[in-house]
Amino acid sequence: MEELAPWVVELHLGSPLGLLGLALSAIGVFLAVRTLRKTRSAAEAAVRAVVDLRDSLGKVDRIASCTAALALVSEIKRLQRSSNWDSLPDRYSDLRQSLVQIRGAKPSLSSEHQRAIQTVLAQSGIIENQIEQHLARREPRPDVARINQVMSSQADRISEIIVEIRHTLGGPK
Amino acid sequence: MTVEGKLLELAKKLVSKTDSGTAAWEESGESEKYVTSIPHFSVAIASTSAQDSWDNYERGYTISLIDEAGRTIEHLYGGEYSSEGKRLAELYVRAKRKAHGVEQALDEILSALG
Repeated sequence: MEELAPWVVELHLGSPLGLLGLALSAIGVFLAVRTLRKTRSAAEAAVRAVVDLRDSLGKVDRIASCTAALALVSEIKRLQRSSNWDSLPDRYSDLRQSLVQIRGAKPSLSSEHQRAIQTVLAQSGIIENQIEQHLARREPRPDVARINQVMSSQADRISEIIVEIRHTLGGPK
Repeated sequence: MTVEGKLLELAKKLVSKTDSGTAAWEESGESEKYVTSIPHFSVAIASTSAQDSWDNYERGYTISLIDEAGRTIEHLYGGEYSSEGKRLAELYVRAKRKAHGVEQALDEILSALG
């Protein structure tokens, strides 16, 4: 205590004014820390809001891409029914690009939906190959009923993805 | 292990996954060809035929690996009587039944008949 005495004297802690100054300083520090905490919470809330907004925008974009893919599937089915084989490889290429976009966008798709998209991609590749073989006169005309049945199941899967994304839009995390 | 060996190993694993109900098979859009997927790859199994150098057609099975863009990146053919073909045939039969829901249909019919 004797060693501390010169500090106490120098800081005037022995006087009432010195003690008042110390108390005011402590209150000041407390208020500053509280304000900093509040600011940090507000900043964190703002970041969360931005992340949520980006997430929702990503979902809206994905719904738009799924809707475009559905339109392509319908067009492909119509072209196949009318045996318009020449224009089909380009449509399949568009469909595949659309599906790759849907799968690659953020937020990430569930594993189940990724598998569904992968199956649609694989089926599209197999059907497109049959069409290319037919156009090269190496294989007979593809079985339209069979491939359109597969296209219908693809449309169902894409619709399911849209429904599930819509369900999560704006909902709790 | 060679790529061919790995494809046969894949076929073996898929047989067991199909039996345990964890691999789902679907029609591919091509006759006698079925497809199953994981998130970034698919596997197709098909009953096919190949022409030998004497113009004879041999029946067999082909397993194909399909990448995330829908392109077939590798395949393995096994003739009906070869060891590869026999292993692929095991997978083909299971995939076809699963894709058509044969087991489920039989269970329901048997249950309905009492």
